[in-house]
Amino acid sequence: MPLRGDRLRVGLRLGLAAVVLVLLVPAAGCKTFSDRTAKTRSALDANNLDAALKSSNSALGVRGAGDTPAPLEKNDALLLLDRAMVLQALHEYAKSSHDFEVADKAIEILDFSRSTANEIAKYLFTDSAGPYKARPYEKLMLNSENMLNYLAAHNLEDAKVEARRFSIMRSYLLEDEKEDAKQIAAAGAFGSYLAGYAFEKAGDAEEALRYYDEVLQFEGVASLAAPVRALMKRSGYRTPRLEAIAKKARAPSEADAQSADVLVVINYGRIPAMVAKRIPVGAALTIGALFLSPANSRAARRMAGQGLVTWVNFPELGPSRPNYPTPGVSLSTGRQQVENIANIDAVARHAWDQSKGRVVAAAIVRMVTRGAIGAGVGVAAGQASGKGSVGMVTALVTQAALAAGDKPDTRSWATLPARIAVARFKLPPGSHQIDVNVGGRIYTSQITVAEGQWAVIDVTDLSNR
Amino acid sequence: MTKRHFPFTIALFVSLATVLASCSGPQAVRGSDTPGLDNAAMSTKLDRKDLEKALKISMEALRTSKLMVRWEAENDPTVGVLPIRNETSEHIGSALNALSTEIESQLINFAPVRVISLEGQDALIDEIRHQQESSAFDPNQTAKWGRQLGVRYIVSGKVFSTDERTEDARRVQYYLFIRTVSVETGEILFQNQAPITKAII
Repeated sequence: MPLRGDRLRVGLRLGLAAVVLVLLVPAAGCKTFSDRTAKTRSALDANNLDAALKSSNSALGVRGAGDTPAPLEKNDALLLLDRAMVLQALHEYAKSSHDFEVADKAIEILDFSRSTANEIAKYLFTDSAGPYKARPYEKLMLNSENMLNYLAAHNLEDAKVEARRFSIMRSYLLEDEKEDAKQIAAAGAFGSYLAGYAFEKAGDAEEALRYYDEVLQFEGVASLAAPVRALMKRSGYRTPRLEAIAKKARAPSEADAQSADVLVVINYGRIPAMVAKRIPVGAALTIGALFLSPANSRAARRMAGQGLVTWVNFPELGPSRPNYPTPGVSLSTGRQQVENIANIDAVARHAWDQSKGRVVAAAIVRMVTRGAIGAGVGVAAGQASGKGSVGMVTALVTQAALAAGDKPDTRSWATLPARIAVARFKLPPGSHQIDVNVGGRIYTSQITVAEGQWAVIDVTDLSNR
Repeated sequence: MTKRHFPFTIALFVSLATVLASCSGPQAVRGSDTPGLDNAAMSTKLDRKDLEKALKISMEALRTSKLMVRWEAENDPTVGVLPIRNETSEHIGSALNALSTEIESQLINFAPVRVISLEGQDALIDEIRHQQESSAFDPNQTAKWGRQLGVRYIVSGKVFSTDERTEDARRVQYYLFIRTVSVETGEILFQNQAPITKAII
């Protein structure tokens, strides 16, 4: 019964082709991650934190800020990081910490896992098929921003837990030969500053000095001069950087000893989100050439030459705002010195520049794979129908469906502040008003401090306007 | 399968697997109805099984210590149990609170002592917690709190951890230290270490 067997095979081939198209075509209409989270960022730009929280909850598919999806699905950890920043800006520190900690654990598990099915899907369809792997600076910022939550809530014990988690990650990244030590130091300066502060206030002088030395490895921070000088009287830990900055400190006065130590931390601006981009295949080959195998490079050039493909989809880091005015901090006695200690915008851009070639190369490889699959399906359909034209059309339709399903991986933690600044000063016991000016928006805090106390004030303004 | 069909079949397999994967969902279960539920490690944090293990090690060491002989010779001496200090890289405050309470329970049930609860002594607990946040936590300080509590012995503890990470694994080694201090002299009369290791591999 050869005729019947042939018909069966023909029927099966056509059926399978139809199933593949039916399953893949709906993917063409799917939004990218940055599309799904755009409302949150728009609300932050408008400085409408309630709307940003609502959008964050909506993206997570939950009703309120206390709700967490269970179990966490593919991109939920990243969505929790977005919501944690919004909650921090709302001074909802306990809820923000909860989100950071759930995301931290999830990201850790995701770091150690990538299934074979995800790898196949990534190879065929899109980079965003697999679970999200956080970038090194994002991992450091997670623990740093959570440390800020605990310090703002005056909780030293949990701030120290976050400081230890930060150190473990920082050490791991520094030991990784693939990572750029200078960039790790730049991304970690803020975390090291807060960790030093937490251990200083906990009375652990040596640990505090070790963290402050990490800050000074990146850049000089004048506000550390007096604390370092005081800590060096209680610990024998020394480095040339610590000794140099301690020399710049003025001798403490009697009033200093009776006053409270206040640290104002200002998260301001926002790093750009990733955006989906299409570029001509020729331009893509130029960017990704270094990371392509000769076979893939040849196949891509052949397909481009035949006019089978003209565009490549890939993610790109959006444009940064060119500059941000440094925030101002004022007391009734006058303006305080403000120091920028982190430029997360520059760190994120450097990280993207380093990975861009690989990402574009991966997009080209997917394009070549799609071409091969389309050709295979076309040949099968042509044989089944006995008409070459049917095969050609089927091949083109399959390629088009697969290309439409290729969503650029625009996942990133895009609610991180672009810059972080600190102001550190002494206040006499009593009540005080502190005004922080971020891009013309004034944030007023009222604090009451007693002799020898400390306080951390957080101002988080994630507007890019 | 011929070479030309291979990518097509993979595409079909992945597509079908994605559709089928969306059909399953989580469900609530009861520990008593699900054998082994309490045995599985869910994270590198301390869970009930870890606490039970650490407590068993510490309490067995206490049972066979010289301190027990001393307590038996005294007439129901009073003992207070302080909160256990967290020096680890995990947020395990609530687990350590549960451990303090369990230590109280064990002492009440097997040791020849009267346990004085810290409940209702909010100001003192606040002071202890504040001091515990700092590193200035020594036997003399502990003895001072004991005098405030009106007890002869104070049981205190702390948990340290060493935490290591590689590209595909993370290991946390915990060390639970339990010590008992004489309020009168500040002398450490009993100290024990219980190790626990958790990992994601």
